Amino acid sequence: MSLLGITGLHVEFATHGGVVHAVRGVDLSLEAGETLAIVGESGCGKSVTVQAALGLIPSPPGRITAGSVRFEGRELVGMAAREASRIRGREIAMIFQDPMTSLNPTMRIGAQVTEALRHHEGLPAAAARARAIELLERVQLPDARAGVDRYPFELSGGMRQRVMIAMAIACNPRILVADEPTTALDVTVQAQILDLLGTLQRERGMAIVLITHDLGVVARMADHVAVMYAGRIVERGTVDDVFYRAAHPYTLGLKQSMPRRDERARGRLEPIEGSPPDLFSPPPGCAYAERCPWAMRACASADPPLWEVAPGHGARCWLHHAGAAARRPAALSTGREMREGESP
Amino acid sequence: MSLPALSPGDFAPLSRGEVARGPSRPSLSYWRDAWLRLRRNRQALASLAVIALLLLATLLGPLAWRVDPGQTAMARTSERPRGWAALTVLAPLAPYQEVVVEPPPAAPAGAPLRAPEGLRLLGPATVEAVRLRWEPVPGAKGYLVYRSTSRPGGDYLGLPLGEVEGGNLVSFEDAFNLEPATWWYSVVAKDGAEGPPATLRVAVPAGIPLVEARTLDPAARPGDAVARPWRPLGTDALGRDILARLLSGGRISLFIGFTAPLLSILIGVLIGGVAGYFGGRLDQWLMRITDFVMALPFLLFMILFRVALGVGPGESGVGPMLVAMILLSWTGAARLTRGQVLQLREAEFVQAARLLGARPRYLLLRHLLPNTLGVILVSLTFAIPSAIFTEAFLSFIGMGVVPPTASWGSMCNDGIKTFLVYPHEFIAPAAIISVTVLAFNLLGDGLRDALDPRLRSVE
Amino acid sequence: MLAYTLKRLLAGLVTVFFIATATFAAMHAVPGDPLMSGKARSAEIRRNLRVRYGLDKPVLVQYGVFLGNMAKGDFGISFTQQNRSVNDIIREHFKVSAVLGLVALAFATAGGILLGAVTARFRGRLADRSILFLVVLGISVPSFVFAALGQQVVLALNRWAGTTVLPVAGWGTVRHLLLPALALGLGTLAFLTRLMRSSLLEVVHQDWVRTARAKGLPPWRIFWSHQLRNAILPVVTLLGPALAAITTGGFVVESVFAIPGLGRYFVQAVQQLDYTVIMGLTVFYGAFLAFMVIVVDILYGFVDPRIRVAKEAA
Repeated sequence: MSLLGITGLHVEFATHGGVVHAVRGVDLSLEAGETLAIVGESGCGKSVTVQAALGLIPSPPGRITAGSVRFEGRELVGMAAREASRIRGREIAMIFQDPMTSLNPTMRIGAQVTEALRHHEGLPAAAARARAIELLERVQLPDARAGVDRYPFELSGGMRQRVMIAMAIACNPRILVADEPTTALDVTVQAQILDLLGTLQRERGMAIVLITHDLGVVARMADHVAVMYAGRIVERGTVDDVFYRAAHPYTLGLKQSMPRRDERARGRLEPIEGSPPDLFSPPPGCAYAERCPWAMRACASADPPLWEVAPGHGARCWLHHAGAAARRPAALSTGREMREGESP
Repeated sequence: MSLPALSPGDFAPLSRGEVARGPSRPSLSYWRDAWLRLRRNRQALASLAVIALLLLATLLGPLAWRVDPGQTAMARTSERPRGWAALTVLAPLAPYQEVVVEPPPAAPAGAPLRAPEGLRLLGPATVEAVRLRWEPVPGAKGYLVYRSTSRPGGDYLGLPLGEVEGGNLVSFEDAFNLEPATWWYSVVAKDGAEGPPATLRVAVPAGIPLVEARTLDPAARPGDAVARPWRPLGTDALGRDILARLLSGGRISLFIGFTAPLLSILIGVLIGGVAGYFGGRLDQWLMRITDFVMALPFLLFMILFRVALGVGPGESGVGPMLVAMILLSWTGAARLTRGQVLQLREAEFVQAARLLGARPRYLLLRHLLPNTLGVILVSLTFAIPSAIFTEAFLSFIGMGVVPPTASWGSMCNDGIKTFLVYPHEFIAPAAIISVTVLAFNLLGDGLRDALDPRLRSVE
Repeated sequence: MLAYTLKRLLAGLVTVFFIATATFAAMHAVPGDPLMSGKARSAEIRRNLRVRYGLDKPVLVQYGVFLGNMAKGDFGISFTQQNRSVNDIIREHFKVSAVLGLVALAFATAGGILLGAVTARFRGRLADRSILFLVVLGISVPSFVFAALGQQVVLALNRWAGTTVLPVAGWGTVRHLLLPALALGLGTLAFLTRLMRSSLLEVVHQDWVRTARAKGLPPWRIFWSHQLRNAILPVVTLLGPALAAITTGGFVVESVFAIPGLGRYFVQAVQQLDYTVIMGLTVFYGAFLAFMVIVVDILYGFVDPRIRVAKEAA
């Protein structure tokens, strides 16, 4: 049994213009102590997936229409709010992309850091201050003793993200969900924050779900990777699987559009042409077909399954079909081929 | 799940355009999109209809309802709203004669006064007169007579009609502004202090006195049916037709309500546009003036201006009121426009146009104005009700339109004086002010939601 | 904080100076010379006026005298009533207006925040819709209509109860205060409700509220310590304009309820063309409102740490 297991998750948003199918059948699993990275362009549904799993999607307009989310075997979808909030913040904590806006501007840092502790563990006010200083020191906030009485606007972006992390680890969670934790920060600060996350993970044995669009961050932190596109996972596997044996054209495209240091790729960066489809009315076939240089007729009409090309390494692409061998590009890693009647 | 069967043709390359893109949402022009949004807002549409109706009524109403709003009729003051009906001509009443009885037995000293007994009608009750008669109260030095429109309770007996001096005088004639309605008469004995009341309920039937009937139809005789000119909303304290006054007063109220905001926003847009477009020192000065005018307490200076422009109390001075309103209320539009223009001036499409050699005139007309129009339109819709409000407020405290000229505010000022007895005189203009302002506010909300997504109230 | 307060006070003084100048100019634009005309009731009043306002001197000197008097806190003398100074009038009647205004403001603010919170919590439901409709109605109905209708309702109530539950006019006891304060505060209450609602709805979507939910806090706690406080901030900034609305609204409400407040006195002065009282009271009201705006700004500093700390640093 995995620590966190998501199966067949569907999330919809009812908006002014219609229903957006933001997440369309996502399966994920996370083992204790490991780091899972979810990668994809903005709007691909990666944040929505984890926020829905934690019950953080504002409803209305958001709604989980199908699927299950299990934490240590306990079903979170449809769980009573009171019980769910005992898991949230205590067992599963979350830090967000923008530390500028994710902290309450009118509340002192110390109070925000220990708020969850005081609520979940009934920590008395007197002890809370000491714990806040301790936590802030742990995340290496300079001058933590004065920091507890500060307001968020008095801190820099990097310091605020440290505060966010202190807040998240306050209750010693089993899982830390980090939603683009470094996107809003300076490059030098990014590295410090990632190091801090890594250290904390080793110390406490937390599992981390890292949401990012930065493949560099993925390579540095993750054990497993899930690549998302248009509300679906298009490829998943270990970091090595995804980086060295990419089995989906979209992953290849992502890699080619990323600057690299090795001499092999000193050429031009190649962006992926076009834009993701409108999720008001997702296409019937593969959502990436329109942008895919190797797209086939089948891609436009039939939805490919998440095909296990190697143990633990899956890709959602018709190019793995035995009939498409001639169309398959050399860069695409291959493994087990699809044949009629086989199961994924 | 097992894989579906695929044919070899399925592995042919996909040509561009073969991909079925789901139908995208149609893109709409700004104004068309705004109109669609507004059309979906039922409240705003209803408000629009109400406003159109009000405008139509005030513009054409006085042509259709040809009653002179200034014509007083002392015989028909403070009539309640009533449907049209012909009235029976009443036979003239016999001359009223006071009933005097033998002096009542003296009461034992110190005994409290009793309530008068045997309170009854003397002759028929008609709209011409109600005559009362009661038995003398021992020890009374006189009687007080009250009339109320509802059953008296507690200390309140209603309108004091009059005093009868003398304990042996036991009748009273009420000929004061009687209407066909149910009245409660209370009589109290007095001898310095007042005793408890005796109360009589009197239903006065509809009818028209012969004298008045003859002015409408010289051949009228008792028992005939004669119709008075209809006053659907009743009459005011001077017998003027309230409907006619509402219609003609609406012309003034709406004239002020539309003209003042239109002109002040026009001035504000000009000043704000110039300040924002040219910037620099001119902008600084203009904005300093704007800040200064904004710091003036609005209503105080409305009053001050009126005094300064030489409009005395008792004079209407719609002109001075307009001038004062415009002078004091252009600031909001100026600030708004300046902000918009400053923002747009730096917008890329304007920079591009400038780079292509567009002239200031073209930039203003083609880019700046259309893009500020929505915001300005919204602020106009909110400025109209506040101008109507201001007119009503000033007229109500006697500092705006003053009787006999009718405006909704001045009618409220008239009506409040008799409000406790004849509420309809106040309620009609108060209701129409409220409905008008309500309609404009709802329309403004709808327009704001439709026109300016940034200002959209989070619904 | 002190430096900031002083700076604001200075700006307020400049505003008051402008108001005084505008008032002086407006009064001297009155056709003819009202101060010296026969409208002044008696020769003695005329003599006093001449001394007090330097009426026989050039306009600029008069302006200097006027400003000097105002600076000393001397708002002038009555033009129609002998030996009555504007300061006496203010001393006698302002307290009444202030009590009424404060009660109305407190009622409007508390009610506005409460109703705004209720509508935001129950957004889209019946409670929200009905309160919102009442709010637009409250914004659309002039205060004198509330006053008059309130009187009528209370009269009916008194008649029904058979005793005086609430007096419908006059001044003196707490019971006299209730109805006028209600009528005076209702419009502002509606206005603040609307503001509070949209402010709360904006706060609800802020990232820090999501953070609080991610902490697993219960809804009431999130509402109380993360939403409400931040949502109240814009309401505080609008207390200044709200106060101005209530002050001028007092003119009619005091008249309708026969309350001996400064507003009613001001209306009377205007109706009787008591020029000097109009001048004095306009400057007084202007100064009062300018001062209250400063008080509200400083108060805001205390509520919003961002402003307070920035000021302390400055």
